Amino acid sequence: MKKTILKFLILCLVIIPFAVQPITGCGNDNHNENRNEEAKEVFDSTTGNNSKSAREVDIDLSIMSRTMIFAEVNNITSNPESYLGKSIRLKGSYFAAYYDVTDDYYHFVLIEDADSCCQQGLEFILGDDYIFPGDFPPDMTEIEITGIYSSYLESGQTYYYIAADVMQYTEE
Amino acid sequence: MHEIIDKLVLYFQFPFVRYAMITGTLIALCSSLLGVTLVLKRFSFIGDGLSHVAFGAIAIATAMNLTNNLFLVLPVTIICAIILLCSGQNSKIKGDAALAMLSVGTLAIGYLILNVFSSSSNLAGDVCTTLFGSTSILTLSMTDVWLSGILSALVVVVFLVFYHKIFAITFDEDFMTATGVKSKAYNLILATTIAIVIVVAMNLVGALLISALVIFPALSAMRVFKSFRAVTICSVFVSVICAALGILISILAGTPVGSTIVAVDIAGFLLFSLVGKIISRG
Repeated sequence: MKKTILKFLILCLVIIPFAVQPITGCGNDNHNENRNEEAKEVFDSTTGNNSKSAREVDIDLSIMSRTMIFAEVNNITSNPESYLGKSIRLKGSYFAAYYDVTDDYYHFVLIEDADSCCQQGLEFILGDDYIFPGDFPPDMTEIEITGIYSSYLESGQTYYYIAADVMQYTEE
Repeated sequence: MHEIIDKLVLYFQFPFVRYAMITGTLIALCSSLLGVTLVLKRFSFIGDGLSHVAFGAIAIATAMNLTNNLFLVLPVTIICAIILLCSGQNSKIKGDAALAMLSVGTLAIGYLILNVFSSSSNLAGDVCTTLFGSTSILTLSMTDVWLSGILSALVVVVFLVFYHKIFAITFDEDFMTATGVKSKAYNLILATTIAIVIVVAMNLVGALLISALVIFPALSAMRVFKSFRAVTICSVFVSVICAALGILISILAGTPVGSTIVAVDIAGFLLFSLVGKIISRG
């Protein structure tokens, strides 16, 4: 019987890589944005999340797990130039920081990793309709923003941010 | 179930998820190959000890602002592995005591160096990520994937080429020496290979959980099979499946990757223990 089990295990070791191939997409190197959008549409229609699916985004982090969000935000901050111009939807904790050199407030969405020991943040800038502090929630309020990943130059340094047109949160 | 599959299809559009799966399964494969030898030689905790040494080396590399800490971490870990595994019977400090000394000493000194010299804005977070590997495997660059792939291939080749010698070292090193075979040289090769596996595996489960990656697949296989070859093959199977499952569960459920893989390994061990009991009664 043990020989049979061993043979079965060896057979599985050979078969599994071929079985997994369709899921991993190995061998299919086309960075096909349509495929990504189709996958998102399938997921959105399945979960009934139709209110946001009408507005298509390139990277929808609001439907992902915490682990995935943290990893993708890490990639965004590590390789910001490859994300410029892409639309992003993101959920996280709101945080405002004051910088005395520019005498201005900067707004961030913070994301924690699964261990809750690390945080990452993406800066976002809303339109002129939003005036701080009245139109902004208290710090650490859960918010959702949607916008285009962009960059600006300040004091000779390039900064990356989300040019957000929408910020949603629940008032307490 | 349909939702889960749709979500997985979406997640696998991201390159870093594919990189994580490839690298994770390769690391699991390598660690399981050597895990059988380590468990049988009563060196189960060497993974822990060497990972702490690697952590200390990472701390020194960070303090020195090295662009790629692998150039320091790998040689230091290899040297310590050689010291631990090749010290022999005549050393003043025996195996487990030497391992314990090295393990806690390098961990403490590593953390001390990071506290004194690091310029990181979130030191606790960086240390936590290195120790527990919550998302390290999901933040690999293409270079990291290639490096891990090459090192993993090297480990597999070494294991396949020196399979019979590794078998001999595992079960009767003294007899091997008595018959004129250079057991010290093969011990050196084994130590170097183990060090490479540990350094690469830190990306997957972090420094504190590496021992689980080495021990659990081997012990699971030993519940059912008795021959060295069967245990090794089964250990590889268990390790790869558990690592893949662990990564998938962690990205779906939002749990830390390292801990999830170890939890799946434990579940695998319990399952194989049950199967072993059923087979032995049959």
